[in-house]
Amino acid sequence: MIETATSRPLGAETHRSVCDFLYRTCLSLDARSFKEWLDVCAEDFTYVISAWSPEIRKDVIFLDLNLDGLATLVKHLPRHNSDQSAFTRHMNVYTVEAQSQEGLYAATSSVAIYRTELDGGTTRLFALGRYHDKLRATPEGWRFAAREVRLETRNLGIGTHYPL
Amino acid sequence: MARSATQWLEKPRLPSTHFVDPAVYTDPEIFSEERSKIFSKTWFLACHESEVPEKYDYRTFRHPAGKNLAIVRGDDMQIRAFFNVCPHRGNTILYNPSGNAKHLVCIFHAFAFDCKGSCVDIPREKAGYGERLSKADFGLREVKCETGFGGFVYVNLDDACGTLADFIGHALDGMLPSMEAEPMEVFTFHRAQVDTNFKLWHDTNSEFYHDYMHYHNRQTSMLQPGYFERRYTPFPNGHAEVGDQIVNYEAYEGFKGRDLSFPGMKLNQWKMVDLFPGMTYNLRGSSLRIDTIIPISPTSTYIEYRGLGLKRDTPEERAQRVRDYNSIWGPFGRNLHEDLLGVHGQGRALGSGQTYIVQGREEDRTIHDEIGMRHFYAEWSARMGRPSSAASEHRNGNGRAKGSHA
Repeated sequence: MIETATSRPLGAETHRSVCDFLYRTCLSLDARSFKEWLDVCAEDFTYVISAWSPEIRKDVIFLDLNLDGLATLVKHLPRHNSDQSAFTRHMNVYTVEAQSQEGLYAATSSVAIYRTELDGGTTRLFALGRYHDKLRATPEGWRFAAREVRLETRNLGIGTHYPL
Repeated sequence: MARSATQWLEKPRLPSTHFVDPAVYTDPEIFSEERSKIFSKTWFLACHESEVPEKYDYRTFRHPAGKNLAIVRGDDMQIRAFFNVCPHRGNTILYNPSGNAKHLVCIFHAFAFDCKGSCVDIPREKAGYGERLSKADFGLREVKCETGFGGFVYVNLDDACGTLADFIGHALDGMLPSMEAEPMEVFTFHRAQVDTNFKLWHDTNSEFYHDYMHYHNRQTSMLQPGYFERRYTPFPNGHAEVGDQIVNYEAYEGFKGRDLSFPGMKLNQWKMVDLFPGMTYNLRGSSLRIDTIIPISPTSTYIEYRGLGLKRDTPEERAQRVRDYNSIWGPFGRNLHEDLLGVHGQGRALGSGQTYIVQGREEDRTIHDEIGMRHFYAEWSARMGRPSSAASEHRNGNGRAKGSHA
């Protein structure tokens, strides 16, 4: 979550750079260029898909992986039977804030993920939620330190094998 | 050799117990009859006791027969079930899926009910009703409710029903010691809406021949010792148990290091029981998964999934159970998506006319024998008063029903 109380002022150039990075990674995910996406994840990257369940009044976690786990998941994708509908993300970066730790930034974005069937091209909303990202500035450029996909949508139909 | 239209519609050369008329998956009249003859008469799992842990806790439940229920824990700690409907003007009483309320108050006209279903307040009661009606006339409709078999809350809409124990019988005996050794707790819940008939989901849970669809299961189970010795045991009332196996998760890259189990279970042991007419207990390694189906229409179904661990789990143990569960069973798990994709495809294909559905594999009741499905449809046929193999031919003697292939 964003550490608002400890946030430091953020320059417009940094803000623009973070937004640009996040939007570009959406393009990679939309294109299912997972290697491209994993290449900008730090070695200690953590990836969580979670939601609040008002049914059981608990946070529920649907996926919780480190970088190795995510790389293995991606590697095995061709071996599984997966729905091949395309996913398209509509994302808006709401906030970018510098964290107390030098070089670490937190970004919160809204995301709507649409699923388009291959046969006929019908598009339906798959999931609505937010990306809570931790980003690290490195000499090689921005790197994801963590991403939590916080879903509002919990009826995910037939689900998916792909990261969101 | 491909078949002609006539050949496509011919009954298989098998006993009538070994195939199903596709109309049972699509016909609105049959669906309506299922609600009255099956779902309104059988016990059905609504939730787990850990979802209503405190007095006055409630949980709503959309019953498969089409009724909206409220599960309420009383101040005496007993769990009861009521129609979630105000007896005054028929409004929904509880809008949130769960919560805590000493009194259940209808937002429409503020009629209030206590945790035992008695009406305790009617605004300006005497001014409007005088002596003609009183609170005593406005009690909630209570539904039979029992808690058991792992702390699950079961309901039955039939006031004249038998006991839950009679209904389940010995079907869960092999799993009960693990589920009742100590209290369990629901740690995850999600509901999927799928365009398919509810029975197709239960069919999938009732046969393992479809393991060919699962890369994970091929690696960790099918190729492992003991898989083809797993044996089905049918029980009265349409329930069936699948014999256990030790799963080799190490065979799937990335799933190593699973060292958590359930009381009385060997490490990575897997047990599974299907209960008629649409509930599955699936105890696999470190977590218990419960599936319950809620049919919306002949071709649309909610499936509710619950994951359970032990109430006394440490944070580390709970995190491990959650990870293990999600690796195959969450909405992003390796197996669940494949199973749902399968029944989604069946739902799509059945809408356009279909040949008979074959359930004809006989392998001495072992894992690829389709006796689990046949046992279900024997119970279905008995309760419906028509054979599942010719369900559309037995409708008022008027031939095939709508949606059938003829």
